[in-house]
Amino acid sequence: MGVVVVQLGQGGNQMGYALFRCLASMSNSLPDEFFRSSPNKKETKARAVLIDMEPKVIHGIIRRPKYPSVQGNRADWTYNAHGLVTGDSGSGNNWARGYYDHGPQSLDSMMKAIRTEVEHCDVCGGFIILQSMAGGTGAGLGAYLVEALKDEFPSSFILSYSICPYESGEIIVQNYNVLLTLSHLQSFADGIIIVQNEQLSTICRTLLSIQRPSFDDLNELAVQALGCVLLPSHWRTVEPNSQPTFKAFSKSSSESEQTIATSGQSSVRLLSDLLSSLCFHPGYKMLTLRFTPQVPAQSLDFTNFTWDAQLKYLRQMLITGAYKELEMDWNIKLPTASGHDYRQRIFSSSAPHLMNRSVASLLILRGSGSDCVGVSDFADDRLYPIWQVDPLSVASCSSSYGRYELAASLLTNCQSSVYPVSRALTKGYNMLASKAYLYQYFEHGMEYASFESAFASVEDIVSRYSSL
Amino acid sequence: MPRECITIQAGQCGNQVGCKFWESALREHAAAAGNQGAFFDDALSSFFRNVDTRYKPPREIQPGGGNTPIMCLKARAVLVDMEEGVVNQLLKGQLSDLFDKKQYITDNSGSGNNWAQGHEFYGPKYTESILEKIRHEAESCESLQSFFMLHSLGGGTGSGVGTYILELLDDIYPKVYRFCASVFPSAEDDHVVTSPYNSLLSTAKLAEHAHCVLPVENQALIDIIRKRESLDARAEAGQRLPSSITSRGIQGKPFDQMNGITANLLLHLTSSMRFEGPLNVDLNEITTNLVPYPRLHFLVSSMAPLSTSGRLVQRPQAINQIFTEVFSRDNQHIKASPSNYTYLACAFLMRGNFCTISDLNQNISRIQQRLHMVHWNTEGFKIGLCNQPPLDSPLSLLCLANNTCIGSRFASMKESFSKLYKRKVYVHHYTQYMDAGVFEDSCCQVDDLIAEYAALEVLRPPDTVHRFRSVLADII
Repeated sequence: MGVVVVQLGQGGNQMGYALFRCLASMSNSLPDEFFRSSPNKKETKARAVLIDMEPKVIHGIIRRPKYPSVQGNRADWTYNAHGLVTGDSGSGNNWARGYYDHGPQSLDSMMKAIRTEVEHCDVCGGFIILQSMAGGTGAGLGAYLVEALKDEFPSSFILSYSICPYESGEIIVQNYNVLLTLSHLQSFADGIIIVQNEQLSTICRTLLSIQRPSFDDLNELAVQALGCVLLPSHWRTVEPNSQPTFKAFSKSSSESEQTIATSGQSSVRLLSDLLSSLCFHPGYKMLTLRFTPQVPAQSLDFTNFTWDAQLKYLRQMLITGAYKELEMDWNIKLPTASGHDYRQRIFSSSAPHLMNRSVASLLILRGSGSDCVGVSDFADDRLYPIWQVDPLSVASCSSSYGRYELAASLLTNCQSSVYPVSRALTKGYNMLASKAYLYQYFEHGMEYASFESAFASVEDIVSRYSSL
Repeated sequence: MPRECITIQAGQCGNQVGCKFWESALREHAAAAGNQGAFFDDALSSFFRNVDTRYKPPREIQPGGGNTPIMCLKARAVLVDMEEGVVNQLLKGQLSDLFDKKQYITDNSGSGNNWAQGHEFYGPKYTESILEKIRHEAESCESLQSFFMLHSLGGGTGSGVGTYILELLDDIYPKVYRFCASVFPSAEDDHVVTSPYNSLLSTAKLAEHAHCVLPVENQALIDIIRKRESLDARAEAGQRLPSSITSRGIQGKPFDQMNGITANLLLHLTSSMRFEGPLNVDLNEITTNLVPYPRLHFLVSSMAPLSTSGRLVQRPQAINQIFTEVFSRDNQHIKASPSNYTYLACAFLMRGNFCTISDLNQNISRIQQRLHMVHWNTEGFKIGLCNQPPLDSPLSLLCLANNTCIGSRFASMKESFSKLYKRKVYVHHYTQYMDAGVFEDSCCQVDDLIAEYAALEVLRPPDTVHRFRSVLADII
């Protein structure tokens, strides 16, 4: 079962490099889903395709060392030299240029590289797209590629890991680009993980004692959470030590039933299991990722972790919609009475004072004792809408996660993914009303109607989540 | 392969600035090559060609994997001047090897500080020749990204022939970006009587045919040099100087140093294209982010630190300090104070490997409150980070702002123009070559520009914003 990772643009490529390093170092052996041995059996290659419209970033990444210097194993791997697609001129932060110009031009070479990687998998579990939504290549070309992938591989799952830029401004037209990208991902991807640079930066500064985080620091933090989800694990029940009940999510349910009956554990099939348990409703595809513990690397060996404490933090993070363990509002508790009106908060401030509601959650626990710890708190009815009967899926793996004795990652389909989007929407409307920067998009073949429909579809997403 | 830039130097000022630019670029690449020795890599290839002069005609050598040794570097440039003096001096000097016969065009008699003579007479006369030389340069590029025009607007050749060439480029290479570093004449101290005419006529053309213009004013550069000298002297002497020294002023104009500042500006602008960094900014990204409406493409630039003898220490406070400096009136390259006007968009390009994205973000949040941004772009900041520091300092920041203060400079330029044009002085020199209607047209164009900037200055947010709803909203 292999998963092909597609790295797009400068942000996506830098994140992909960090991700593969994490996957290689956090487990005892290179996971088969993400690495394969080359035909001559001498090297291990990452199942990745690197795409960028300017050559500098990709060439820089190829040259960087692949084994982490601080933690984990020294596992050597390389990128496949034939899996690189580069252009010359860059996209200039112009979404329309990435989508309308570079998309069709590079389609053949991109699909060829991707097809080669897919052929190297016994069974292709799907695609993970790493991109930044603010620029031109990652966002525009990324949106085009996701459409093309869905066309060519209609039954494969596509999970996108999309980076939201700093709201203080990294790129001036970032709001347009984010909204345009999201509207396309909503139609063609199966799941969209939204990660915000700002949140990562706050965690680095307040919890990890990195005063001035660089992009490398942010990427390393982000991939820790993602790696915890993607490394091998097996399903377990919400109540420990109880009989496994029939889980309706697996596409190959007969197979998993059998394995449950015999060994009691079925491994998580990447992408299909994840996405079927979380993104089963076509209107709700936005996911957020939370991770615990969040401590500086140098304190790892000196801190005592217990499941109770870490899961308590994680649960409160889920309830408040926060991403970091500190400074959460512990006053926000689950409501005792029903009938709360949650609709107003999305359009109000960035610090919601009401509870974060979710559609479904996936909890992955790693470390000893992960099989037996009780997590029924995460499945509390009040966190989820009334039509959700089986909201929580839990997977675990008893081997430790790198240097963490125990670690947990929570992938949730919840409202907090939508706050940065709704802010981008407001600012985007402002700019659109003044018609600023539009001529650059029109020059490459876009029309005002495309902006209208993109904005409208993001409005839909926001309103659906706010009515949870 | 990186995106190549072809530099076009027109007129005396343009060629002198160009000379300084090539000198600094070579030194920068030499410093970057460091101990590995000099190879013709992608970074060099954006401004230089590598030729093997043993062959006739000389053979081009491509960058390849970046390990090709340097045989003979030629600048990707075309030099144009209607009198021979400056170009000849260049060709006799240290940089003579950088240019070959196919790269320059000269004539004898000069343009007489007459825009019309440059634009309507010399331009058409040398069209074939100019196009041929540009084509020769363009053919040796793998993926040409932009043209850099270096010229001044006050004279005849730089302004007239320069803008004529710009029109040609717009015609023949429409997809290649056209950046202009244009030296505007100073309001105060200007020895060329017809410069108001020349600059207004050129500005109208620049508004139409350039993608991006970086105006630079002589007076601002002189003031920067004075300030720098006083900072240097103070740092070295360690005490307050007697007032007689600081107020003495400079004998004549220090053109060499002024050109150095402009050259530095260009080097900084292109540093992200040539060297690696965590957040690259290409030239096409500058246009995408900083030019909200196609004609409003005049960017006010400023750089910090001014003085390098202050020995910038690599601490976060140094970064805060240069961020504050870059908004000071003294650091601007034109005589205007952008902090008092409205910002449409702003870009910060930082060089140096000490700075991280979080430093930039913190400083931007700090500064944002003091600036007046237009309402639809309150977080209108573009960031770039390049690892390679400049030659003389561990850190350097370039701020490019699309700010409405440039409208006020245009207004004062229009005023000096009107003073002369009302009485039709010197107009007969121009009507020898062109129709008097061109004056009127250019006037209208510049008026429009001024009005557009003024409208943005007073723009207020609308009361309601129309939101779109899609059809599905009612179904789900």
